Amino acid sequence: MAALSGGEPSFVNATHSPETDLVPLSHLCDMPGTVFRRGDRLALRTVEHEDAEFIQRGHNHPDVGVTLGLNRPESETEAEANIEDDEGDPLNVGLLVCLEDGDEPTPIGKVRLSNLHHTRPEISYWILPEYQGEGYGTEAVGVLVDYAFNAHEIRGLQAQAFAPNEGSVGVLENLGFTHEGQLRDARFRNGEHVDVVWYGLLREEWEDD
Amino acid sequence: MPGPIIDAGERVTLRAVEREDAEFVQTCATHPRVRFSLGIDSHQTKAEVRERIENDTENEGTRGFLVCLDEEGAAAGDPDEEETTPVGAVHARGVDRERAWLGYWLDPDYHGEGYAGEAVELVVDAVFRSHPVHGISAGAYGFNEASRGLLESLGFTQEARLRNAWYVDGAYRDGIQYGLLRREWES
Repeated sequence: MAALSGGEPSFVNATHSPETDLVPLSHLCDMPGTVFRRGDRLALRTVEHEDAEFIQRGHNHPDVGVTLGLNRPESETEAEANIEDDEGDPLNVGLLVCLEDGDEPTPIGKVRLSNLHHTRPEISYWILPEYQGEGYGTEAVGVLVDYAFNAHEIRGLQAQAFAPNEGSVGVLENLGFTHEGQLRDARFRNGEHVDVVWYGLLREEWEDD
Repeated sequence: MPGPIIDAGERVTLRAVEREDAEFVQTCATHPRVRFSLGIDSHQTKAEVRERIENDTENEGTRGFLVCLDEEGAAAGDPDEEETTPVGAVHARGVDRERAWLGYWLDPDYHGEGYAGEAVELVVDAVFRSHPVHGISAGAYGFNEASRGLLESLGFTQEARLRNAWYVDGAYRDGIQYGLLRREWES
């Protein structure tokens, strides 16, 4: 799940089955940061330096990274540097998506709002493959969208996704975004050129929803 | 002063953008007819324009072309002031990616003569011939009929309309995105 703008990639996500032979990523994480906004099952928590390892493992996972438009490995040092860049940048907001179903929050993905100075800032997101299909993406992005419109004087929001990425596109459609166009063969991914779709949500459409 | 000729059409020549062209670029980019159609929300100083020209030069993925009207017999390299008149510019960005992105503008005094179409067509050809890009993108605001007509006349297809994505000249405006694939350019 995600979009292509700015330092961090953003193409959203993946519908593939997990096939994870990796260590469950959640076990790699220290205690996540404090709660910023809450949904029913999830919380969006601040991204801390200690989350670099979790984020890096997510970005390097083929079912996440490829859908984000990432085409090279990301080291933990790079992940840390990206976190630090965001800290000093008032135009981007990154938040960790955490499942709040036990004593300890479990990080399962990340959401991001970029270019807050634009008329329509861009959102991007990813959820670990083993947590996809539960509506967590829609819930997390919904919380982010509400925050964006409530806290910032923006005209609308926009997002891009690879057209074949049904999971990511589904999140946008669930949240009432409008399909605004399709750039043909615009990116090379998984050995072929794929279309990129554009979605937009205007303030009055968000209010009506 | 414009640099050497890169390519030439029937009426316009494309020359290298030099640091000394900052004054011309600044004058045009400040003009409301150019500024609004490009979405430039503030005017720029000469120093800023010079810096931008230098950044473009250093950027591997960017190619800048100054659109000029040459007098007969104008020198191919370093023409004198009376030999050529700069009338606009075309920039191709991201030529090292899957799709390059084109931006262009013309001095309002020279609008309506088809110079922009001739210049953009030359740059489209130059990009496809010099770089293995899969396609070329370009954009225009919904209200910019001249720019949209130009892209459509060159075979670009409208691919997206980003609603109210820009605030320009007192209102929220749609951004229209166009694309031309290599196979469409070849045929």
